[in-house]
Amino acid sequence: MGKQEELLLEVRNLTIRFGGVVALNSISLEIYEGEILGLIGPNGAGKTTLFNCLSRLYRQSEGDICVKGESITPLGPEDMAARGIGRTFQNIALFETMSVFDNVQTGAQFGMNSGIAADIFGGSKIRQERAQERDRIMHLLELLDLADIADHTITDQNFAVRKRIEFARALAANPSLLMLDEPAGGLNREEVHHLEDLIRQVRDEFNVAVLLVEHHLNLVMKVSDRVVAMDFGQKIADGLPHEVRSHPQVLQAYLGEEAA
Amino acid sequence: MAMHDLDMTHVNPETRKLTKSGLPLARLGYGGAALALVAATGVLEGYELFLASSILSYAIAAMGLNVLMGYNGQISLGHGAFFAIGAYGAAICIDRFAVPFALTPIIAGVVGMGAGWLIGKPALKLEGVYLALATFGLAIATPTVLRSDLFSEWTGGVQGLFLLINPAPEWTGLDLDQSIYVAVVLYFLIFAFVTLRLVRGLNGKAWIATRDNPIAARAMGFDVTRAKTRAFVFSVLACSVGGALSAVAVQFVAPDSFPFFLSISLFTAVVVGGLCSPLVGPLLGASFIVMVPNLTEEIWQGGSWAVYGAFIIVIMAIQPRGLAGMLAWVRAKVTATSNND
Repeated sequence: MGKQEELLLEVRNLTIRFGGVVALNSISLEIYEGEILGLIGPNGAGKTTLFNCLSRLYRQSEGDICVKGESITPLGPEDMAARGIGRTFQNIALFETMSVFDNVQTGAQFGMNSGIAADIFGGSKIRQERAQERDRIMHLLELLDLADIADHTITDQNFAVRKRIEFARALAANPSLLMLDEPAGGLNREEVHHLEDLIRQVRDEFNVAVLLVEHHLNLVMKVSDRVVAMDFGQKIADGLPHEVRSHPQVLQAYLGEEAA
Repeated sequence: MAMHDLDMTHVNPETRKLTKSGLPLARLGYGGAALALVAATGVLEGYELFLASSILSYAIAAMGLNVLMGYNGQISLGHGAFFAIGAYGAAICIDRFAVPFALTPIIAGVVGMGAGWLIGKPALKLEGVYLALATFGLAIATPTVLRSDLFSEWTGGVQGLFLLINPAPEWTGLDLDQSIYVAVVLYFLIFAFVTLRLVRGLNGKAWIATRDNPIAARAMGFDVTRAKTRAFVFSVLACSVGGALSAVAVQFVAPDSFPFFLSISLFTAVVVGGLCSPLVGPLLGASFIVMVPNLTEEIWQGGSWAVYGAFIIVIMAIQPRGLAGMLAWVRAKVTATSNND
């Protein structure tokens, strides 16, 4: 599955220092088109730092990140949608006062004409573009089982539904890479099970690569095509899920954490 | 990419309906309201026309400020300064260059937007209470600048300027008050249309997204800085046009008409009217700041501001979404009871 596919994203010797602390220490990894890559590691391993660097919220001290061969180092977070990189947030970052539909629609607007004149006069071309967008989003909502609540506000939705809305919002941008920041956090066992199916469904139906940053080891091992393990800002293992699971350094990192 | 391969025609008709319900009826309502405003030209007289013109001028300013404060969540306590720039812009146009009064809001709007852009660029680096205080500085400085001898040749200094306004050409059959009112209504309708289109379009999305969650907004590709700047410039444009029209309606400008309290009044109009109610809120809020101070003077002579303040407190306590929120609540009640009958 996606193993021999084309290289989508490449991280080369990425280093980030916060003051004297080295959060990422010359880490390199690749993500291929259409694959699900799990990124694991104990607390403080640098997973979230890497994630934030990939979404350009942090800037690296050294190293480079390339998407389809082009460096995204000079870009800001608002440029990522256009580069085909979508993300969800660990603590859910929806637009609280918008409806479910409007939230998802924000994911799809980046390429559209958002000029003042386009809004005010909105000729037939713009109307058509926006109507097509509406249909596409309704379709997406149906796929993710959100169509019934399209007009509802976010405030009424529970945690698991909010996560699905975030998924839909990220997918509305037609990304080639979907980055998920601890999607299982705060979900119960049954909901984690649904999430597992959702991630696979999304990859298969949208042909999107997934970067899954997650504490929940079982989920990662089950759903990923490949797993990268980190500790102390470095990569300690990279391979098939069962290889990484039994890797001595990975065992040590996790057992060490549990013992503490 | 992959999405386009999917069958886009398959959209459940029921869900499709959700996205465009109730539009034609709303259009009819807007059209009716616009006609009523124009028709009022022949019904209202003298002072009433002046009052209506004043309210609509303030409503234009409040509509713009509502975009900034309501939709984009930035607090300004200094937009009275832009109201003053618009008023003086119009006054100088009429006094010096004999520009027809109906065109002065356009010139005042351009001048105001220039000033807003210059001030907005550095000011928008600030947020929340810091932006509020910085803009309040503008409001405090305004009367002094208007009074100063430096510009008195243009502004008339402490005396201000009396405006000689010519009514519309005779064939229209409008007297002076009516001519002014018609022009004000025209600008009001333009601003109402533009505001509605913007807040319901992608710009509105960008404003709300930026207010609700700036980090997520950037991740979705919104240009947060551009969204803030547009909201600020639009609010300044609306305030300067409102100021120009109000100067025309009063036919006089002087520094004392633009104390810092004017900025607080505009702020009050937006919040008491109802944040994020694009048209009804600013209209009700503007009526509040124009009419209620006179009303309270009748209730308690000498203590009118105490009554005014009490009104504000009571409204905020009952309904944080202001008068528009109350109106919506009443309307919901009425439809509920009429449905039960």
